[in-house]
Amino acid sequence: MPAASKAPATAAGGRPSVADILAMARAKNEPSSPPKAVAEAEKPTAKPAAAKPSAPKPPAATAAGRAGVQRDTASILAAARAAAKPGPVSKAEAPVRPAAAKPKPPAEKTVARAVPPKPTRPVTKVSSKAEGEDRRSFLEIATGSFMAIGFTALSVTGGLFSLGLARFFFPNVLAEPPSKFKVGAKDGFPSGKVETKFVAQYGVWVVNGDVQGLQQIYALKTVCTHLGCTPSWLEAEQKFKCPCHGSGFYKDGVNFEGPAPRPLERYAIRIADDGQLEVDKSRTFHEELGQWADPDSFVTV
Amino acid sequence: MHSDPFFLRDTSGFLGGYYTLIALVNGVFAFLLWRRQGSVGWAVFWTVFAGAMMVLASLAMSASPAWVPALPDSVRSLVNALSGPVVYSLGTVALFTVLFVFRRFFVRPMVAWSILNGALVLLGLAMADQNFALIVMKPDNVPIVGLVFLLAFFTWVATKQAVVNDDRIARGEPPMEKLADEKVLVWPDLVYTELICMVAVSAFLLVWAICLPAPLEEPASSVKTPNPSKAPWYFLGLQEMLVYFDPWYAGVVLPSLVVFGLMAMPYLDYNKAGNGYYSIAERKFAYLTYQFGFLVLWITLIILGTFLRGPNWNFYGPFEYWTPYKVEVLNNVDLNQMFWVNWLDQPLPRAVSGAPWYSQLGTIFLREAPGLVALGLYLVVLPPLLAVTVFRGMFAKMGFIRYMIMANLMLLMLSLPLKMALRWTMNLRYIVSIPEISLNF
Repeated sequence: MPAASKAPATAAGGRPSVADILAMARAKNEPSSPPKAVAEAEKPTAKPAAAKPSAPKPPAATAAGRAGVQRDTASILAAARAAAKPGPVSKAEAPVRPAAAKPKPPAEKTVARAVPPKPTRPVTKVSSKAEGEDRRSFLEIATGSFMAIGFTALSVTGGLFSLGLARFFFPNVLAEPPSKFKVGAKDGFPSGKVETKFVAQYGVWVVNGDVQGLQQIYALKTVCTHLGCTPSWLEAEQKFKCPCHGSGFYKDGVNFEGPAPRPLERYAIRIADDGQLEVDKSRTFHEELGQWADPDSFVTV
Repeated sequence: MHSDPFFLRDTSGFLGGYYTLIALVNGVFAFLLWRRQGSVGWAVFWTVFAGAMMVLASLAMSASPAWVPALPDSVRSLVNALSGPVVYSLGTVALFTVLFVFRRFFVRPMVAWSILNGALVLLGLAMADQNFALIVMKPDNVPIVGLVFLLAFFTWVATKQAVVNDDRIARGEPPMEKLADEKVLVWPDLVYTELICMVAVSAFLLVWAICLPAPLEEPASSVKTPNPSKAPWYFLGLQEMLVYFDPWYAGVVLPSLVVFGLMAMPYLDYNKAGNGYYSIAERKFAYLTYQFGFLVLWITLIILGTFLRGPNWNFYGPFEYWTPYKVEVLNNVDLNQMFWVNWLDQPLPRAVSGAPWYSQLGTIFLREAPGLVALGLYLVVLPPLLAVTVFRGMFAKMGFIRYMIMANLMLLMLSLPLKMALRWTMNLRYIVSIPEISLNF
């Protein structure tokens, strides 16, 4: 290799800097040596951390031995750091070094290696009020500490976020049918009829039926009292039948088959000022609580 | 019968392929029997069977109602007439008992293979019926049919190993698992197997999803419930329980008890035998309790909910058309009604409106007294009674606390079949019914 003879010459004037050695190694290697040699020489630079700590590097020595008097960057660097002879570690020089003469596993060697002194860690200056009150510490001085600022900001943001979230529960436009709606005059509900046309829009059956001997018009909520499915009115069997678990209710809403534990609920119903029946979904009446006796829960025919 | 002239034409191709597949599998089976086992008699038998399947396949391919192999109308009507929740549940319990008692017979490979083929042929014959095919061949339900066969297979494998082990233990030999206890490595043995399985199953699922697309239903609506409205298949056992119980009990308490009970098992189990190997004889109580809870109370209820529950959650026979107009009279009454009105012939105790709260509460307790007493007897008095009679040995081994937990878990599990039986026999709705606070049992 051409670089082998040059390096000691440069080093003769004194110890060259690492940058110099690197530049020299690159300059010597690139033009003359074939691409394979360049690749070999450059490879160890990819992991300088591995090459850094050990001064007389056995891998470098073996590499040099393999390729004759090969100078690779790692060995040059290692030599420079250890203030040893700058330049490659050739096979001829190797016996001089006790470490290289008797190759040992690297793990053992790291124990004996002298560790270069660590650079002292720069002490960060902690600013205090005594040391000049500049602009940076203004907020701190104003509020007490940075923790206070952080938590205040967090709680304020959280509070505002919660308020904003709460606002979603009160939308500007409510796209649901009003709780009160008119279903028409009493004449539209002949005796014994279950009106199912309000189910899709309002979820209510308006029934004109016989409840314990009294003819009444009442509005039944279309929610099964078992698990909340929508039963269907079976005209042929004169019953409400739930498709989910087979609960059945008579026309008056009283449960008689399946697992439903209590009768269907009633909505409030009254005759409005214009003579029409008005159902109010905001109030419900439970039979098991004796609320069906409430005059608001039915309209006498 | 509800029948469609185009139905057979559409199904015949599938049925032909189905019978051909059975024939092929049996042909391979016969060949293996001949080459590996050298049992010529069985090999000839299954070859003849495969030939018969090929005949069935060609008949099915004809697509003519006169030729396609199907169950006779009389058989279908008989099955429909016989099937009902009572017959179904009693039948599954009876089947479970027979399978357990005669397990030595059923674990023989030839018996199991014959049963499998019989079930497959029966399924093929039944699928020529339109009403049956409509339910069983629904894309949602096809995996469940497959799962039934898979479950039967795995139960059979485990039972077979247990029977073999029981015989060996009776002879004083170690169980099979102790002989082949060679350790294998997680990597690469297990991980490679899992990887291959993952790839194979993913490919299979992709092909399945393309060939048998899951149906989309109508858009959801809060005021229109599909009829029948069914839970996912793995929850159909729960949905069946909901027919007999209040939502809080069947939907919350019982499922939680199932989970907690399964978690409690290792702590309740005092039997050290059967650790690391299959055995039935060494742990009969544990085996029977678990298999009853799993096979009878969970699996058969899923099958019932999937294939036999139709519109309005009525029970439909396997060959019955799912008409939403089927009328079934199920006049259910609560125990309080039965006790006060039917037996004592007096009105239900009812608080005067406006009475103070303690008076109302007292009235409720009086009204529900028969149910509360029955429940108390069942859950409080019965465990000690069992401890001094049937479970005397277990009580001595387990100690008071473990025994009481075990006994109560078991009694609560048994409350499901008991309640079902009470519903069928007495039309009982709830034993304790307090709708005022939505508490029913």
